[in-house]
Amino acid sequence: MTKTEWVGADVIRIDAKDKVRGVLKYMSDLSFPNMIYGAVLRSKHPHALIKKINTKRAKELDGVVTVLTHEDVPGLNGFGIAIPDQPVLCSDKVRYMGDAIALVGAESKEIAERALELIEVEYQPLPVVCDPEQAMLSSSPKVHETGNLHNHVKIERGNVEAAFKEAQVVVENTYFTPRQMHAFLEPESGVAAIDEDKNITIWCGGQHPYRDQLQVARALGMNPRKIRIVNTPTGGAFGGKDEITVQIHLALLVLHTGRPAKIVLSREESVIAGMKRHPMRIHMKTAAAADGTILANEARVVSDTGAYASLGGPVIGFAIEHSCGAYRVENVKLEGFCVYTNNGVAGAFRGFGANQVTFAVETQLDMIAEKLGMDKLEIRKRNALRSGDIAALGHQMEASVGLLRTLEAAENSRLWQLKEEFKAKPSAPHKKRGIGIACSFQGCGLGKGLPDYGAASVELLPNGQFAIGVSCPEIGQGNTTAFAQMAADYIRCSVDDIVVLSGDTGHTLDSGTSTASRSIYTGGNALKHAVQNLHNAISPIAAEILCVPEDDISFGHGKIVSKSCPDKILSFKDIAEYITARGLSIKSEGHFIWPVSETELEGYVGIPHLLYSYITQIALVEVNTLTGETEVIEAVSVPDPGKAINPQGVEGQSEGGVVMGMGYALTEDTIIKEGMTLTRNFSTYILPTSLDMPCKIETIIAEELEPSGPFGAKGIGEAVCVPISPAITNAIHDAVKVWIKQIPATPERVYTALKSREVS
Amino acid sequence: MKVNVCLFGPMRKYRDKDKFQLELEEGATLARLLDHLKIEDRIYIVILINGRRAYEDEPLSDDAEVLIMAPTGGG
Repeated sequence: MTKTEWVGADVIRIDAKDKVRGVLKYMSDLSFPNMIYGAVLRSKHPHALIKKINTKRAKELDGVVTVLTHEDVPGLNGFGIAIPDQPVLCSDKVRYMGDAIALVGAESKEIAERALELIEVEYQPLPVVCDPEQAMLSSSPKVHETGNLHNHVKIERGNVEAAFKEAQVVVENTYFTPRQMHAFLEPESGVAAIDEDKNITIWCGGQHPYRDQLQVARALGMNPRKIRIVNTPTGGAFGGKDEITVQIHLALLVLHTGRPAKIVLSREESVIAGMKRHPMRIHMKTAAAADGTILANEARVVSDTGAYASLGGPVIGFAIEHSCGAYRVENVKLEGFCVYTNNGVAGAFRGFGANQVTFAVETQLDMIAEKLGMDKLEIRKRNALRSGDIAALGHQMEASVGLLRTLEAAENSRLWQLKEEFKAKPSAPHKKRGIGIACSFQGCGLGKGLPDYGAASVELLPNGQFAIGVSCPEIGQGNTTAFAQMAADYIRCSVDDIVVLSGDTGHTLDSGTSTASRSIYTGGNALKHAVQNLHNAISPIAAEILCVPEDDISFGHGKIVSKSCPDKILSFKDIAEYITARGLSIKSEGHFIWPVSETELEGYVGIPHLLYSYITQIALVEVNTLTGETEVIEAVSVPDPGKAINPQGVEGQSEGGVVMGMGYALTEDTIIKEGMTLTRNFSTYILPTSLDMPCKIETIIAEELEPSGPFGAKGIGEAVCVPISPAITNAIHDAVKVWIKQIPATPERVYTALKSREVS
Repeated sequence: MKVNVCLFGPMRKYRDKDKFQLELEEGATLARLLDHLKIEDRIYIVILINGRRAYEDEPLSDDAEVLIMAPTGGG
């Protein structure tokens, strides 16, 4: 591989200075003259028929500009990435407390909120279904007319029953995982404006501007080209802004009033109406031979997608794909159900279903190791997928497979090498320490059957710098900096000469989503093609200026050189001035389509994947045996991102991921009872804060280069938050000898388990 | 002219095969192809011609590869 100057370097994030100084304008910071403020009337019931909506009194309130209902949606009254089953504004039925019924536009936020109180809605409450197992019974209330089972995935391979009979050890357990909140700092919010030709621009945090554009166009019955979406910068998303949030409501307000509009959800509204991680109930039975080889795995996974599908279908497929971990398992019986209930809405969330099943399978593995008297790291090495292996869904691991590399690096870490020393020094006599380890892999990209594509542009600017355009939004993950680094090395210029355009349907080509650990791989590959085309466009011009043949031109560090006469040199600025003087410009495009697995699973889309990132994580915890409180003292995170384009960026992702996974393991859950959201704010939703951070998080990057990736890169945005959760719960077991089968492992649960020596 | 068409995911409902070749008149646009396939929901679809994002009014060329899909997502 060509030596790189910028790729692999800790380049400071290009958005760092503006972010730390508070200069950067997020979407909700934007304002326009004559702007109105929007507010949404949400349902008062988790499940009810709407008999009547009366907006008369609200419309009469001074300062109210418009009050809109379902009758004012000109196109399809529905949205949803996979199927449009969620109404923009409900007409006859509500299915959860976050359902939108009416939309007010007013001269101030306060007036808009007052107007909401004046809208009269007559409901006929319906029985609520909140347990997904019960929801699947034919006798249960139907959330949707089509029934409550949204998606069913079933994969069988080999002979599970025979394997269970011949196994040395069989472990069988039921696990429960919580409804985690994305908890992005910037709630769902945005502004919109409309021009005299009825072209609409929406500035709104999001993760796929071109798909937002189509969803808005569908609801408005408009040509998508009349709608521009700007998603960058987004103040955190983690999957929670992959679906439509306020975009369609903003578009309706500007369409009906002709005035700019702003909507900013309060945290409470965000919690009630917004997406969450799918809670899952996982029943798993795993068999192993005497040497620790996994012989079979059987899993039944029930996922609660709440009132609407969003990406619940693909999430259950992804969970099933990852339900045997990153291990070789020849006999599998895997079944997943994605079920509608009246519990909020669940959708995409960093990890995309892997987090839940990884908690189960990594706990199973520790139980097997304990029964066999095996080392916890050794059992993982024994079963780890290698290149060429057949994975759980019967697909071959054709691309780079880095699990062993991460395990070996984890084994050599200070925390693992000195684990007995670390465990021997609790901070008080009533506290016990333990160390846990866990692994996982993460499918990158959209998977088989969903063509994953991306495009990028590169333009030589008049000052000799380059503007690159990739539409995958900057959601805090640092992709714009990585794009600049890759472009600089492809072009052979300084990273300081790269201007990045991102997340804007008006100025960037469609590069797809900032999800699925895909943006670096997609954007980087598209940029590679775009730069090849750029060089092809520059070469003849340089040859003309230097009076040499075109094939004599080469690109060096910030310069264009004649191979035969190395003293004949041009800068990119020389080329820019030359073409500008002649009224010309150079702008090139690159297009890229992902490779996919050759394995096709009849009836399923999105699984299996071809590329995976891999990771091993270790946690040292201290459990207070008097209170059940668990503290994470140290953690080691060993990701395989392929080539680390920006090692500091990978480290940042790794540290953030560890803390997000720590919250998932120990404290975070959005409690919904009978369809009513009880956890309505951060006062009762316990997020880890800076005070809860482990004293040390060591990140060891274990690069297993991916031949098809830009400079060997894959994606690492999601995997970093996945195995740390079972590493923590396995560490709790190591400390106090209780198995955690339900997360979060709150002090109450751990204390109860300590008392009964069983958590169920 | 002949164009090669691939339908993905839910778009497969418009044909019994997901990969096929279609003969269209010279100068036909993408809209003509969509008419031919009787694709009704034309707003919420993504079309790539030879790997590039394309819209209804774009002309097709002989031997073009046309991918038609719903803009879904996934992990």
